[in-house]
Amino acid sequence: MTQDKTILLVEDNPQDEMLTLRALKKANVVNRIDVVRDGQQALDYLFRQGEFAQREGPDLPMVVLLDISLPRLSGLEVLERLREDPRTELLPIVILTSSDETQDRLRSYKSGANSFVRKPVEFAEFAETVARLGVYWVATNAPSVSG
Amino acid sequence: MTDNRMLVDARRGALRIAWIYALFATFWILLSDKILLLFIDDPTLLVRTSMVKGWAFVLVTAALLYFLVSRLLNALTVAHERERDLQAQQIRTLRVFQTIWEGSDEAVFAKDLKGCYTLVNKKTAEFVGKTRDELIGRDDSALFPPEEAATLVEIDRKIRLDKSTIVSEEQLSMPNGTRFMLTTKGPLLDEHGRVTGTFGIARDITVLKQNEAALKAAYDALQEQKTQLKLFIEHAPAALAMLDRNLDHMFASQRWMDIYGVSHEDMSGPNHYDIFPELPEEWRRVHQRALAGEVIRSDGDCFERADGRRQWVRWEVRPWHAVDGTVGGIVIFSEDITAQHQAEEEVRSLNAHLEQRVLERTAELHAANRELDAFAYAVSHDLRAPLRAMDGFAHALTEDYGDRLDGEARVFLDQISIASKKMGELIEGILTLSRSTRGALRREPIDISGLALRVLSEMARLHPGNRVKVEVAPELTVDGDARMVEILMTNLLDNAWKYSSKTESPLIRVDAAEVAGRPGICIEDNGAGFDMAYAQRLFVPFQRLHRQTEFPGTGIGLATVQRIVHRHGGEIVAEGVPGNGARFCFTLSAAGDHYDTESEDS
Repeated sequence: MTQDKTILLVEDNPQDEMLTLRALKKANVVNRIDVVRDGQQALDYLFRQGEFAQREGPDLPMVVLLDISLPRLSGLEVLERLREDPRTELLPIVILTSSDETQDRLRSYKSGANSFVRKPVEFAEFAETVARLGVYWVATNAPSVSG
Repeated sequence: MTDNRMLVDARRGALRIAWIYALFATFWILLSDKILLLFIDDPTLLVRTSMVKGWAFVLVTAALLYFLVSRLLNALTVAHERERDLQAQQIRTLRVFQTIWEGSDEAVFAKDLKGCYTLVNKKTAEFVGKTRDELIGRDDSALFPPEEAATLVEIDRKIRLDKSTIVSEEQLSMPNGTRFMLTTKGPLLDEHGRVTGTFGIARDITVLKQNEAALKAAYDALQEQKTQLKLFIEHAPAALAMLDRNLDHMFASQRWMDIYGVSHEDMSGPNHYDIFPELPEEWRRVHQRALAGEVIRSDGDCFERADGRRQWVRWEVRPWHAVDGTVGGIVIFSEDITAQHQAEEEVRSLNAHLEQRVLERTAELHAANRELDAFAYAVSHDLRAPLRAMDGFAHALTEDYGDRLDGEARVFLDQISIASKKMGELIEGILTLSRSTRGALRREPIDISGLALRVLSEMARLHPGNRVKVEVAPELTVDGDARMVEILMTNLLDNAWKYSSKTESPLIRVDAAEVAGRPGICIEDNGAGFDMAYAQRLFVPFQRLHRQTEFPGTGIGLATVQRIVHRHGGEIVAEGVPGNGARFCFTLSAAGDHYDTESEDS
């Protein structure tokens, strides 16, 4: 299984998507960023199934930025499915959410999230957070499986 | 005396013999010669015959004398013998009498006319504690105190005067104490009926008298007890009746008579079944069981009354025992507890209703809490994203197209950012408020002094520019939920820090104090303070007493503080003077909690 330096963003809010992409661009993260808009799409993308059966590119992204409140399957359900599957059990997954509910954070970590990041309301802070994330996961972190 | 009579009899007999001899001789002398002259004329024969007649006279008179004297002697001898027998008989009788009176348990005595003792038996001497010789010749004044002696003398006088026998009770002082004597006294008469003295027979009845007195006392006590018991039963605030073995009424309380419509007259003695002829068999069996020694009771029996009303009665039937241990009868107790029963029923029903209400309300509360949680969750997720978009795109616009916008346009964009940031803080505040008291309350002792110092040193680190003097009393503790107390203290200290920051020499003091009569904690500052007129609004969410430009804030902090205090069942009070500081005192002890002053002070 090959792993490219792609980032997968799972986000149903188009405004958040735009702002996230913009923040990553501003932080000079030039990697390819694929976007899916609900939980089922995320699973289909990662397992190359359904509408993504013929997907081009590497098997797995370098990191998945996963929102919690998603249509169809929630982010937490997606996380649990991914961790159950041997193909994706080690895939770096960052939970990116508006919520700072303790219950969400606990469940995320228990389900095997690598990181839990709250999306700040304030743009400057948000941009900085996203930028730090992108830089960290793309440039700093050593992947479990080298491509 | 007998000898005298015998002498008289003997003389009388001799005289009679003399008389008979004289009479015979006289007749012989007068008549014998004339009789001879009638029959004999011859003088010689007459002389001879006269001689013979002389000899005949001697013979006849000798024979007559012999006959008379021997008859007299016989008579005397018989009389003498009879006399002797009589005397022996009398002596024997006397001995019997003596034995009787000497052996008698009673004092037997005789006195002469002067009242001096002439005869006393052993018992008399014993009673007065003297020898017989000491007694003889003495009178009562030598034996008893003057008043007693006077009484005795008076009795004797009366006996002598009336020649009557008197039975009296005498109370006399004897060597062994005061004794009661039952005495029979009478006159001693001689053969001519003249009074020669008095006699007396006295029995010691002291023990009898004592027994009698004791018996009377016991009887009186019994009467008193009976009266008390009767009174006690009569006025007992319950229907109470005491019956004998035949179920005849002995006593009954007024309440009993009132309830069963029986008058006082009916209650003396009549049979229970005469008063209550329609008493069911069931009750008669209960009575029989009680008479057999059983105690039967019921804490609440329901009876249908004639008018259809239901009456609840608590009753008890128990035997009472006579002195010999047998059942003497029964005591019936009954109490109408209808009102009490109804009250209990009402309480039970109220309680059940209340429990139902509590369950319902608890369920409602749970539902409301769940809704609130869902709401807070939605707020935290869904309200933030649009805000982020507003702020984000405003920024994007400034960043990407700033060079094409004029100054005013940028100010407007800034306002969008400021507003969205502010709304973000408000959302944050609402979430904090809703979360502050979520979850179970786990009380534990919390070191308030340590917590305050930690929070204040963190603030000093965050705001190095402020030189705040901190005074925290040592060893302050409260019993509370650690997480909530931390939020509470952080909010109060944060306020104190914020509102005193513009004062020349800021001071924050944390100390113990009493709040609503319970142990509490006070946080005091010398900052901006507030007008007490608005004190009520301090704890209302989003209500603020200061302008944003003076002291920024969301108006959530104190609302959160109050929620936490109330969640603990405690109280919080605020005092302030504009420009002269504020003081917030709270207690986390619920009203009615045990408050041990000593342990709190130590």
